[in-house]
Amino acid sequence: MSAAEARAAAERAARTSYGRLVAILAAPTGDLMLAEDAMSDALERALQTWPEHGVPANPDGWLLAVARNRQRDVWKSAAHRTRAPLPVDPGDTAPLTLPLDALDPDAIGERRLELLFVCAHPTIDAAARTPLMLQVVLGLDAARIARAYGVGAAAMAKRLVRAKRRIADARIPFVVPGRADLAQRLPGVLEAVYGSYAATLTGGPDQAPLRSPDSLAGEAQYLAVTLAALLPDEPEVLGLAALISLSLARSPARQADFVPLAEQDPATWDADLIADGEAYLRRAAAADRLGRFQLEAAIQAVHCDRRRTGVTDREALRTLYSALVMLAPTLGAQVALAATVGRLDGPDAGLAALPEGADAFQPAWATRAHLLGAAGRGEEAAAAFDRAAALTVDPATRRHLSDRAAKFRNPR
Amino acid sequence: MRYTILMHYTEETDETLGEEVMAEGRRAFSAYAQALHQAGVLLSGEVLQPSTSTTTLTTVDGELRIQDGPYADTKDQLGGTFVIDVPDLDAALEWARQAPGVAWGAVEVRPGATYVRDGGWEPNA
Repeated sequence: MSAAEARAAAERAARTSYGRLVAILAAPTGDLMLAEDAMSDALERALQTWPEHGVPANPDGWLLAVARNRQRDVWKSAAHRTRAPLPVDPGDTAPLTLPLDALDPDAIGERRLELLFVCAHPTIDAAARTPLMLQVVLGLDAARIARAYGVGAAAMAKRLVRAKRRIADARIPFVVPGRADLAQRLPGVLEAVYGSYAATLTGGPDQAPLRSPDSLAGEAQYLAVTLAALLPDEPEVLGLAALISLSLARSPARQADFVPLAEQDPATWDADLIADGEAYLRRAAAADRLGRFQLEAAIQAVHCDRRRTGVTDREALRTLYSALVMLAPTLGAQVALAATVGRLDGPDAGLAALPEGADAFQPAWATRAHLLGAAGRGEEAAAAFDRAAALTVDPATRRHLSDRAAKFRNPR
Repeated sequence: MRYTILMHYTEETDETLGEEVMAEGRRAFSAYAQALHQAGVLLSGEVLQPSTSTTTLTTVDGELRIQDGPYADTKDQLGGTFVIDVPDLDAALEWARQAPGVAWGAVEVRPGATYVRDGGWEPNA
């Protein structure tokens, strides 16, 4: 086997197994930093060994065994003992190795759900939860996460280390909350997984530019689908997997320049992802427990359905957005409802439906601008497009909005 | 794993609160201590005298200074502590949310680092 093939195999194993193995390694002691170090050690060893001896029959078991040995070496080493607040008898640390000794590498367990609940634990800084998931479950490095969040690599690394220290030092348990606590704890996990997707959004719900090479949209979908596999009976978990899959399905249409949803060619959308998303949504609906993510996924499904029918069912959108506004009255949902009302009942009705107090909210200005333009109030529309452009981070979207402003200013 | 539950709240007296409310507070502390004890997790518990009785020692320019009053002159003061031994943070939080101080101020849950047993330091675990 060539070095390149071995590297590909190791990278494949890293991608599919990283979080699973880190979760198993960290669960007994809560030491995520050591688990990650041991894991990267094992991957390094794989790159050295596999080209010569071939990829083992059970690559995960091989990686786990090597990482476990590495972990044990550290526990036994003097370096680790001096990290204890005061010198202790080495005999006291010996039992630490026992939990993993009992582990059979051929019967690799699954502790990723526990790990996700640890990352989204209420005592972890809310701003660290999503980055933590991206790092320990998917193995992304701090610099990559920092770029997606638009913060410095050092600041992100610090945030991640602080969270991991807290998990180990305060002993946040690797457990899935029991039925009584699940309802309370699950929204935090969903929010953090959604956060990895929301980090890719710069506009409103109908305009998610995913052009950036730093976009985490694919990672977000992987996290959501993983969570759906681990908690297959929770409708909101399925709803989130549906939402991200359906949104991601439209990303091919947004590759180069910003194209408003209504002008996108549905033929460029990803049919497989749409089918996946619709399947998740059907499973969620079967549980008959409606929630925010299911509603948002249903809205995406209505948009995606244009690929099949050629038209957008705006009455369905009105119903769904109205329900969403009742269930989760965010500014985004209120603005999207106003845009839909504008399409159905005319621009004046849409303008009247726009929420108050959204002066710094880009989608509110973009929607107001469109509605003013449709109402024939060109001067005001141009000013509103300018405001929307000024509030936009994504360069392509900003260009699109500035062009619209210019058109209203100089109609000919 | 040992955790210390620290209760911070505004200091009140019989005069400011009334005898009935103070009696209610004492009942709450009594019930809480009983619950911790019966669960076998209580290592120690103490309610402190008001900060008007406290004395603070500091070293200023190499000289020891002794002053009456608390280290931090804030509205809420450390009012008492419970040290418990439970498996993890979730268990500690479950006890902390039942602490009487939750209704009056802030309750802090802090994992221990080391503790003294028979005159020697032991790592917390």
